[in-house]
Amino acid sequence: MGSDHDEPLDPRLRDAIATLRDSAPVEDLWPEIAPHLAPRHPAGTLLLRWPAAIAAGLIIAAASVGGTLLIQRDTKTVPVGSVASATAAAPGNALAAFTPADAALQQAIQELELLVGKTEAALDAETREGIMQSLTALDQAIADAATQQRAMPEDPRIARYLSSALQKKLGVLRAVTQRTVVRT
Amino acid sequence: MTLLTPLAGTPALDIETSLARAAAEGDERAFERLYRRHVARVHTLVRRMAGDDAADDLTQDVFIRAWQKLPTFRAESAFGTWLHRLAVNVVLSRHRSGQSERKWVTDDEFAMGQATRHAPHPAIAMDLEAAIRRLPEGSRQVFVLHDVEGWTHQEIAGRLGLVVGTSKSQLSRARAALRRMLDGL
Repeated sequence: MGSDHDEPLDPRLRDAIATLRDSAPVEDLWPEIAPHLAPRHPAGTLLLRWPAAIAAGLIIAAASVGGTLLIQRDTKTVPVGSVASATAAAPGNALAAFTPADAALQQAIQELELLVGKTEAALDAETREGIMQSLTALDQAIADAATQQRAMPEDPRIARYLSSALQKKLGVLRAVTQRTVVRT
Repeated sequence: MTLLTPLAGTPALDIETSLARAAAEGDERAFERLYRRHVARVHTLVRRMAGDDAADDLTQDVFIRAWQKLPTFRAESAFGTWLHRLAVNVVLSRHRSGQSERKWVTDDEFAMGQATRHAPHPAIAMDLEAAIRRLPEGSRQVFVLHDVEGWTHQEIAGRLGLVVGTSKSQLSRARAALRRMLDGL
């Protein structure tokens, strides 16, 4: 019974309520329910796939950028796929899922992408290829996160993954621009 | 070892939390076990609130919605409590969207007269389930939530979008109508 104060319940009605019993539906509803249970992606898939993708991307980027600093002594470049074009392929449809904080991250990313586009010529082909792969992996992670967040906007884990992926991408772009600006 | 046959001393709530967590991670078998445990309770709740015809559909909606929302379940309350709140939300969102309190009360006043005027035959006068079914929707929902489910008027008013006084008056009228129906008047 509700606990707030109101008129006392008639004893006969109270006794009748006490006799109420739960009853299952006549037919089992599970066969109707089961086909509507969408496969669960975030918990399993994101935990396993994202860190791997992000870590792989960062390792490639770090190795490439580090290699550029340690090994390459000149500024000779070979035209290959553009780092800027890889970052520009970032998922536009993910924007709808961004929180204001993530939107600010995305804005910073876009500014760095412009800078990378202007300075990437200072990188050698191998380095550029490595960075491009890193950014592509991060873009995929961001796109996956944004898709999941649209499906489950209240899930804080997905929000954290999305923010984390954006921050990783920002970190990679910062590292690239610091090196290329210093070099050029 | 199955989660449905816990070791001695394992609280049932822990089992349900384990099942809920497994289901949140995508384990449909765990979710089916939760369904088996709670379907009668949920079906009875939605049937009492929304009527026999809508009960099966609403029960399905409740469990599909529960599957979608389970990743947000934080085990701060028992799974059953969380599920029953969700069930109430599903019923209310289906039946109450766009209705103002004024219309809600006005419609109930008319329906209350109809319900008590056509009281059940004395042979089934003590069938409270049948009597509840005859209540108009608004009074029925307040009665079920307060006197059967144990909600407070504050909670009911908040969930139904009413003022507390309206919840109290609806309950009072529902009880009076039920007494009359049970008396076979």
